[in-house]
Amino acid sequence: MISNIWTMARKEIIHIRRDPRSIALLFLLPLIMMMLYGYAINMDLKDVRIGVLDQDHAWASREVTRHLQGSDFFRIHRYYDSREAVRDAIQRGVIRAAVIFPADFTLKIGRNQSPDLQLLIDGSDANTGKIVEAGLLQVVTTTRYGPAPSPVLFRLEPRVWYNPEMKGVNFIVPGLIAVFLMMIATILTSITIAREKETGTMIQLRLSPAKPLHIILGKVLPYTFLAFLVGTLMLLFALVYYRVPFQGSAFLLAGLGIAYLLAALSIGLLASTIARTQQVAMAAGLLGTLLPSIILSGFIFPLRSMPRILQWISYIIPAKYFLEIIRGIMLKGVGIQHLWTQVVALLIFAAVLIFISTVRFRRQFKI
Amino acid sequence: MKARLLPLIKKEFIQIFRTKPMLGFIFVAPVIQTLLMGYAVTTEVTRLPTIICDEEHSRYSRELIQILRQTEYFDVVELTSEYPRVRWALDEGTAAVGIIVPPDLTRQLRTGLSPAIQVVLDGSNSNTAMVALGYLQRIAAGYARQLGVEYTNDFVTYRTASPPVTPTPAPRVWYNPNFVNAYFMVPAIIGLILAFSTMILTAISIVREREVGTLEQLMVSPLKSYQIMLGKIIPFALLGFVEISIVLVLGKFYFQIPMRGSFALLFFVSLLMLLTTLGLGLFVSTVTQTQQQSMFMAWFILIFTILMSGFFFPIENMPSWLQRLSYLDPLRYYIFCLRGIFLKGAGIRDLLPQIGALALYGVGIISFASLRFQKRMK
Repeated sequence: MISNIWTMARKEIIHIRRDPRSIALLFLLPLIMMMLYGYAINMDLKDVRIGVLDQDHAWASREVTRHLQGSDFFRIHRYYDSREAVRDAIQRGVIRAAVIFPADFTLKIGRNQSPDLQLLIDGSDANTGKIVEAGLLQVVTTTRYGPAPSPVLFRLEPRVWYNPEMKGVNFIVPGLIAVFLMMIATILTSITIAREKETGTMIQLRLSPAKPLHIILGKVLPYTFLAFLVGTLMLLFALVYYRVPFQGSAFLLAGLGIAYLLAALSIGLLASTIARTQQVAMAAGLLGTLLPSIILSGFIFPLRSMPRILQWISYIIPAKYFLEIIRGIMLKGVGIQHLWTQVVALLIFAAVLIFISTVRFRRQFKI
Repeated sequence: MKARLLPLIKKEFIQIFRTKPMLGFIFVAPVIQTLLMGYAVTTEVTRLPTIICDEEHSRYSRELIQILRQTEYFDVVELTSEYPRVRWALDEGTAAVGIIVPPDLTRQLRTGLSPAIQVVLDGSNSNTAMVALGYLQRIAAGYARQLGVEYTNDFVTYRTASPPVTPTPAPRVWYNPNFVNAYFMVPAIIGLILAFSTMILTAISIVREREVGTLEQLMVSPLKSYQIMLGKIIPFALLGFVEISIVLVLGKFYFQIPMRGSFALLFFVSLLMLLTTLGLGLFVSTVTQTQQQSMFMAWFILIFTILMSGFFFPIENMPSWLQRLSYLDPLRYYIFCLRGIFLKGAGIRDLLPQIGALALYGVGIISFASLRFQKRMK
């Protein structure tokens, strides 16, 4: 049995070696992507461009403007002199929001009346719009327009564990490894069986003494190894270039990483047994992993804020489990006692998919 | 010329529709993707699992828990009186926030010592941690104010000036007053689907013909090389338009997204985008030899177009070198146009720079790629 698997694996290695450009792309592209997206994916808004229309030109409006200018969050892009100009700028997307001071703004504050203040917000980007609105409200209401004593009754003493400086890259970069590995693994294996069908070599396989399960395992093994190398490379890049901390055990991560790769490769394998051509297999593999592992994995978008049904679906997304594993080991430094449920989930996932693939493959085999 | 091109297009369609999964990609995938995007992509942080460590069980901690429970931001998953439980819960990931109430809170409050309530945040998700801290500070300030009023009448005395006036802000949200997520995501998904299906499928289908050797058969036919190219491109362009229509119908009737601009303009910019994605697909096919190579290249370009386009995250957040790089992303211009046309009713005048850039990109890449393609054919 071992020898059958090994023969199969050797045959697959010959295939891999015959296409050195694929191998070059396989190692090069992920590194370029790691370099680009660690900083590109940034959730904290900064320097949001806003406009100001000041019809007041007195100390109170200047005080608010000064506060807006002083915050990291906003950048005053321009001072406008008419409502039409403001409207036009928002329409063209030059600014995301505008503050309009009425002519009697300072006057009313001096008289201890509460003046109106118009805020215009571009809501077309719902997520950003919401944050911009909250930010503007905060600046406007916390600006001091007179002396105000504030009694300190109790204080909050925040402590941030695992990532004390709350660096975004520490959160994003391990996630990138998980997400990219998933897609790479799928592209790698999705062609293996489809290629045999397309080029007509399935018949030869059928004549060989190897059993379907052996063929499948023999095909998966070399790619597991290859994907493991790519993963290691990405991890090293994360440690050296982004200086992401590594608190936990490297051996544990390696071991659990293999479980994840098996799950990821089994998706490609399944696509390969379903599809008749490489094109369909790869497209199906990518389609099935690209958006789910970016969106439904907790990579960036908080799963808890999603509708229930999507939260349930997220339980069959392998990337979700590996994200918890890689962030847990790298940032929290936790051990297997906190991660065993994730590993079990990954292994069950891989086993089920490999089983289905084998059954499907055996059926195609017999014809 | 038409007489030669038509059979070629027909052949391509036969090839596309011969495989059943392909029908799935073209007709079902856009629907699923649109639904997924419409509902799932939210950066809002809600229902944060929170563990509260409280030994005293005083009135104050009860009130604080009550307030936390009333907001949608926090979800109190565990009440404990043992500090190590907090560590365990955060390590395990069952809680993202820990609030530790000091054991002598009441005494400290009454003696005016201004006690510290410790807040522990799981920084491994830096985004959530930051937002959670903001929420907590706001809630704490509110609670302090509430207590402060009471305390003035009670045992702590301090001077109060007349409360300062603050302006009454009147926020007006344009285009999407209720901040509906789908309004923003669904127009963008059109761009994503175009990039996905037209670019990847074109690239692979050409490389496949080369790999299998049928491209050579086409070359020895009386067809000119540009005809072969058009025969490869036109079917996918048509499919692209079918997919746009599917998403449009879904967006309009299911998500009820307002369409404030002109359909003509929408189709015009979509045509430009199609030129770009087809051009990219063609380009990928000229620099790769096997289907797997072209898949890797197409994947790389696809991720670039998605992540650098402002699709999920505003481009302003990126460091400046990446912002400059994002000008290379055709999806950036296309999504800007789509969102503008849909939600703002933007016209050609508002979108001129974007449309210009997209046109330049589309025409440029398709001519460059077809030159390369024709050279390789010879």
